Amino acid sequence: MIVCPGCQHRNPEDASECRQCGASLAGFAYRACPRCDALNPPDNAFCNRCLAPIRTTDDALAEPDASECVSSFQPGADSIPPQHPAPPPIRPVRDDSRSAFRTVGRREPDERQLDAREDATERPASRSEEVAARRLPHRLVRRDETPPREPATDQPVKAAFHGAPQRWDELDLLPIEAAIARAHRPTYVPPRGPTADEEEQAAALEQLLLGPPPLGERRRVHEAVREPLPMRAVRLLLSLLVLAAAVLAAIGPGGLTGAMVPREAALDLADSLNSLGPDDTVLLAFAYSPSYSGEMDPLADAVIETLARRQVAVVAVATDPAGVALARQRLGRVEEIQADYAYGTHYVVAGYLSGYRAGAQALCEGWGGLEADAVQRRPWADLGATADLAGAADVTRVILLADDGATARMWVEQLGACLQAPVDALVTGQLEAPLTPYLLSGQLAHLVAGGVAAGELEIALGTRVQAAAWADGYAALLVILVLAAVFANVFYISAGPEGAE
Amino acid sequence: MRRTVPAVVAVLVGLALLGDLIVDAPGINALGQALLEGLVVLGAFALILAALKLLGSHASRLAQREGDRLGSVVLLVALLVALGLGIARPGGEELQWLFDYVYQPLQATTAALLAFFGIQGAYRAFRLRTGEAAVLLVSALFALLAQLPIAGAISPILPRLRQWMVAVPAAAGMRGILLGVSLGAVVASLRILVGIERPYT
Amino acid sequence: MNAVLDRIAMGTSLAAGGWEQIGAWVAAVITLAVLSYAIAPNPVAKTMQFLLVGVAAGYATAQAWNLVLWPRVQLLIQDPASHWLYGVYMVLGLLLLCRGIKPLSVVANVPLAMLFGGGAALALGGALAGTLVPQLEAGMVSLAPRDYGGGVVGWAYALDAALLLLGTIAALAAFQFTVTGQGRLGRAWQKVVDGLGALGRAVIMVAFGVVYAGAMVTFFGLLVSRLSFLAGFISTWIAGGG
Repeated sequence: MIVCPGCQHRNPEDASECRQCGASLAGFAYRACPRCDALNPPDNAFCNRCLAPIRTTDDALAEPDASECVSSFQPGADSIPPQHPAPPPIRPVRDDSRSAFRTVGRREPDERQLDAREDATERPASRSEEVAARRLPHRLVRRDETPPREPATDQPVKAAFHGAPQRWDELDLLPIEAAIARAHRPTYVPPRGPTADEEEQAAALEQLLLGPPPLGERRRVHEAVREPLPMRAVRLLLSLLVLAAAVLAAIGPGGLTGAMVPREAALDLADSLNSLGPDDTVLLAFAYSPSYSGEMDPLADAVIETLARRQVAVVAVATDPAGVALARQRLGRVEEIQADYAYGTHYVVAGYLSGYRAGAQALCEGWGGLEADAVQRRPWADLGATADLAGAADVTRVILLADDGATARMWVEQLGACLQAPVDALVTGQLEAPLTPYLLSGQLAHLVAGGVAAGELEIALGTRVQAAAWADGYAALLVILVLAAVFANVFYISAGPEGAE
Repeated sequence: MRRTVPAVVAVLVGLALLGDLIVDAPGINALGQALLEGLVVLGAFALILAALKLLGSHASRLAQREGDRLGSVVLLVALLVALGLGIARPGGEELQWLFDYVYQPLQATTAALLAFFGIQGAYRAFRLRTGEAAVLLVSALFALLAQLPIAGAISPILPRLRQWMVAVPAAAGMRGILLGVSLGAVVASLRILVGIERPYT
Repeated sequence: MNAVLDRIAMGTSLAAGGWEQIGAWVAAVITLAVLSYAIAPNPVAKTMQFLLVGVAAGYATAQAWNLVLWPRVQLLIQDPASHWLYGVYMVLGLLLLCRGIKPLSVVANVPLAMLFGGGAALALGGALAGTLVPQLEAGMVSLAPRDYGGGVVGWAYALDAALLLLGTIAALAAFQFTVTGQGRLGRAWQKVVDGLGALGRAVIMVAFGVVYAGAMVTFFGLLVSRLSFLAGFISTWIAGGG
């Protein structure tokens, strides 16, 4: 919309004269955005503020010549809001008569009504008047303070809003400014006044700071949101139930252990391990941290006991320093059970492959740069378990014990290409879904995941029972999760649309 | 120069290793192996650097009397004792004792606390705000139920249904995610190999 | 240092298994101290966290030196001509350590660049050859029932393969955040993609449900393991009297 240089009225695109004051619109300085009313240079097709199209036709206006630019230049249009015509009576946003604050920049209701009566032209406020009124700065000032002096309306405003435009030499401009300032002057964004909510918040703050509110006014006190007592009680109850279920699993009779039937995954792995013999060597990768040793140790023990029983040689490696200690711990315990399964002759802890991917990739050649074992520091040729092997590429099988999806993927990615041996993965329960695609694609020969599967593997292999004894606890855990779901939805539905967070 | 030399090193090392992976030529394979050795050594140094920074940070905290001073003392003493034992008695029983009776119980018990936080997470995650939340709830409860020993007693179809659920819809979802993750890894690696990303400067 | 430790070991004169008994007590106290965090955060549990970090850092550093660096240093000393490359890497490693010293941190850029460049190359090769290509190949399986033996079983396997393929595409479509298509064809295509995306999100939720169930089983198993240890310790203490 074309902004009239004289009265700031917004005119349609096809207008040649102002609909309000009749002034010529030739060489106008600004276009107003129909959506947000921001002032834009006349060449703009889209609003600088809200990006809405600001022209209704596609024809670009010819660049007005310098004299027209000068004559239509209105510095006051984007610096000092016009004071003419007088704003219409506006109902105040809130009744601040009892507040210690009052708004200035807007006349008191009674004064405005008087003015409105004096005003001979009874007409509804035009859009430009409304915009002009909104542009007046609104500030909250204490009643006993003198409001800052507002621009006097009797001083001659350099911007000519009445009648003929001024010459450029009567304005405080250099000749060059007139031609370029129009195009480059930023769009005036009038400061908006406080909204109703902001004024209420200011009043609340005033109440808190200055004393009790007047009678009849509501006091608003903001306090931190705290979870309701029933919800906190439910969370505590659930935690206690988990503890009770864990105690039941740890020291309970293990009634459900007898009902545990190994599934296909555990049976397949058991068959595969039972097919190995003294001529085979297994590369056992301890890729889990002590954090998950509670779940992984039973899996590791079941596998190692079976391999020890079958006199299969084991070479243990780790890409984590703690993995070396875990390997020593788990293999050492089997040595206590099976006396004829000795370090060096039957099993070796090769060591720590540092560098994460680089360490795993290094296993593709030799023993990954490891010159001797980690415990006795003997060369590979001196150890019975590795004497006949040139490196990790000669092992019969790779068994990966992992607690982390990224680590398991790393092993599969780095070693899958160079080692021809099939890879079995024994992992924590949360890795069953992430690693199943590798099982389906054939990159993993077997995948056993989770505490329940560990118990099934123990039963399938006939090794000592550890995880299988916890079956009662897993059943209790299911009940607790169902309870958690019920409570969560009862509270969620009863909390209503706001919803308790 | 300060930024160019490391960038050139990163690109050359990366290309050499890629060449080792792709090409089967003795010279390139030998170069790749040598570089892998270098990465293994530098990986160990990176671990040492992390420990030194930890040492320095807590030592300075103690010197400036800020933070949890008892905690910093405990950390420093533990670090130095473990380091001293490990270097003085490599492969010895002392370090294994420290691991078996201090390190492992600490870390395992810290992880065991997740059971409590996990159930409280379930309390929030199982709110049926959307249809997707309902799918999550039903699949989680079913996945747990169907792997229990009692599932087979309830119905023989439950374990089979769970196996199907893991092998088809869950695998499909995870495969999509894996493909996305791999593509992301490829892009991130290429950015480093081409020199656009320089996290080492 | 070794002589000092030997003297300490001899001086303690514990009976066989004495260190194990002490270790069991230490582990039990540590377990209880950390589990107290479940009741409320407290200074004891917080101190245990510092202990964990210290022991872990010291242990890892010791292993890095013993198992990776010291053997290579020994080889370098024994035969510098054959193992000169280790010398280069040791120098680079020492430059890397300068990262902790502010005025010298810039010298660590070269070894860091080597680490990042090498890591990126390995990640690229692994992601392409280890995940992307095999997973795409695994997705491109036959949908013909006769390739699975025919009959009802063949149809079942074929249906599974089709669902797997559709689910994978849907899961990828769930991460489409492109602008709505323009024009009739674009809008129609956008509707197809949005529909696939909704199916994909459902499929991903099924996967996450399985992951969540597994995670709860894992965390529960970790807690049970620690309680089993405590139960075993208490029963041994009661039975053995100390």
